[in-house]
Amino acid sequence: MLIALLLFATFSQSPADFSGRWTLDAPVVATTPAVPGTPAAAAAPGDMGSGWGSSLTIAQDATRLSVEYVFFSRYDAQPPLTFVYPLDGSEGKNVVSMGRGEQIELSRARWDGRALTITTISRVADRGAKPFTTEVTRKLWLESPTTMIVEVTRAGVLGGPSSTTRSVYRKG
Amino acid sequence: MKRLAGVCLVLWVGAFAMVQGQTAPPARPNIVLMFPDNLGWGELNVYGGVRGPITPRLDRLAAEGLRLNNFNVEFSCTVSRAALMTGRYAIRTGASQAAGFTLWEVTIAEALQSIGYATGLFGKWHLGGDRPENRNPSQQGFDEYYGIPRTSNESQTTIAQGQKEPNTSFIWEGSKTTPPRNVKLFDLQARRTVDRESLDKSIAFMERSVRDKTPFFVYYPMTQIHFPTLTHPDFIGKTGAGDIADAMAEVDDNVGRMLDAIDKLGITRNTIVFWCTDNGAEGRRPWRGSSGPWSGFYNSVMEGGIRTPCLVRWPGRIPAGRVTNELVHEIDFFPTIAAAVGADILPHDRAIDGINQLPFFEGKQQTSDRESVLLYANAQLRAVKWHDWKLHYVFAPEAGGPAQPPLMRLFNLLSDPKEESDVKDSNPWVQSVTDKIVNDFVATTRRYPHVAPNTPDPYVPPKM
Repeated sequence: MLIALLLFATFSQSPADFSGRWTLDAPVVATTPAVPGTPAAAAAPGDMGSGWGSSLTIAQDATRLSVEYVFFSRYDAQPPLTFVYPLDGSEGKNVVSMGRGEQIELSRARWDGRALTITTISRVADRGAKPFTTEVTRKLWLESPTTMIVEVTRAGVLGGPSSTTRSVYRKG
Repeated sequence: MKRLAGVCLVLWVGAFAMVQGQTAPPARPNIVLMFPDNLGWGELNVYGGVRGPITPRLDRLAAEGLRLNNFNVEFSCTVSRAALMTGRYAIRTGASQAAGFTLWEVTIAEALQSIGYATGLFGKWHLGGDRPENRNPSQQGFDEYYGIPRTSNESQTTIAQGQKEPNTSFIWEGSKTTPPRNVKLFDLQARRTVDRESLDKSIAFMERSVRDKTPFFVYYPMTQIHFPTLTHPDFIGKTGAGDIADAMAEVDDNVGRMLDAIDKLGITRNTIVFWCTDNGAEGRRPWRGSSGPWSGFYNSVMEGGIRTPCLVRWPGRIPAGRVTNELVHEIDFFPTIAAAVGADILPHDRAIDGINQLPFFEGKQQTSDRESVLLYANAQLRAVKWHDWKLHYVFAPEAGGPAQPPLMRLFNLLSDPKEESDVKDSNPWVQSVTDKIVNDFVATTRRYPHVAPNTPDPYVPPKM
């Protein structure tokens, strides 16, 4: 009993450890109403996902958290996408190359109890629009040692609404 | 002094008269709208055609006018015709194959007829549903018409849409003074010749209109290259490249005949010619068409289903040989034609989604004013295009096939024209933009509710 209490206390107070391989469990569920009139709302609301794919691997130590997932096929002969986020409050920089030049993502992570919040800012220079900044906030927490929730809020841009998606991952 | 004053007065009156003469409104342009069926991007040489040099007249038309490389249409036959005719996304009209659309809709023909245009439809209607005699072209603004009430595949069975018995499918004709009349059975033989017959009637109509000094609107919705892709006897085996190539050669020939007739009538510079297709490539074997660089076929909202060739010619007004990748939609034709004829003929009691593209077509501005396109599959919003981005809310790449998870997929059409590499993870912000576009559209429906499919006539919009 004492050991169980100690384990619970440890689990509930220390920063969560997200390390491991995670697989998307259930269809994502939007926590904000989907756009009226979009059948996607009824069919599979908020299917924008976590932004990290359906199967991902997290490595974590005291200073950083890295997320890796396979985007390309084997034929594409490209490495998995890897995103590294410092956990000491400093700004991290990830560069994504998806065939449209290098997209630079600047992120800061902070602990909120056992939940980790990562805010990522990108600069968008779209043809036909003035350059603008986008912000994506991911909140990660462990619902249990084998269940991870990734809640993503995409801030509105160009007068559009924000949206939030919650994805459930199971360990293994 | 008096004499000098008199001379000045004469000069002033003369100058005034000259100015009056110079500012007199020019004759309104004729409009010729050619609209072949299920014809994909890859069928024209000038669009990188895949079947050899079989479209010389269309290629020349492109050189003489504007070639649109990002021309968008609705995903299927009836809804496309509804959008084209009304300047409204078809979802607003309730258009369906079974019922067509209500007589409350105002068509381009109706609008032009109201300012004295002679209006004729020669070819395929497909906006009258299973009982087209009750929603026939003359009730929607066409002075006269000839062709098929519904669609080409009825020729395979001669069974009309909504019927069960053979020999119920006919070529028809009618006018504003005579009710529809069945001319002959629409069978496989008639299927081969209907486009040429419709062309001949188009030309005769133009000749009469010119003789009467009446501006005209000729709508020539060709039935080629919709299945069964069986050509006029003159073109059977003509290209050696198969039925679709033969049909394209026929389309090209009919376009050439139309343009030659316009030249012969001496009205080339005062006639706007539109040539575009109702939806993407035919997808049914053995007459599967070519979508060119795009994925998918008609009845899907993949680019291959909704992005089609479009040529516009107006000598002296639209610069020749211009090519653009700017967004244009078939719903833009109505407001553009209204601007071209210089008349306030758009209805003001309903939502019009089309944009006047005349300044862009004329080269007075380098960019289209259209920034987005909503892509519905009947009542279901499937995707939104904004600039070069396309967000699928429901990804269903196969015509008539199921949606494929993940349903929401994002593509950049410049870097990924085949819509193969979903980049929403790295560009999630696009959803905010497209959600706003959808929200704004939905907001208009509070003032202008959609006409429900199968709404009977007379339709009276609810008071809001």
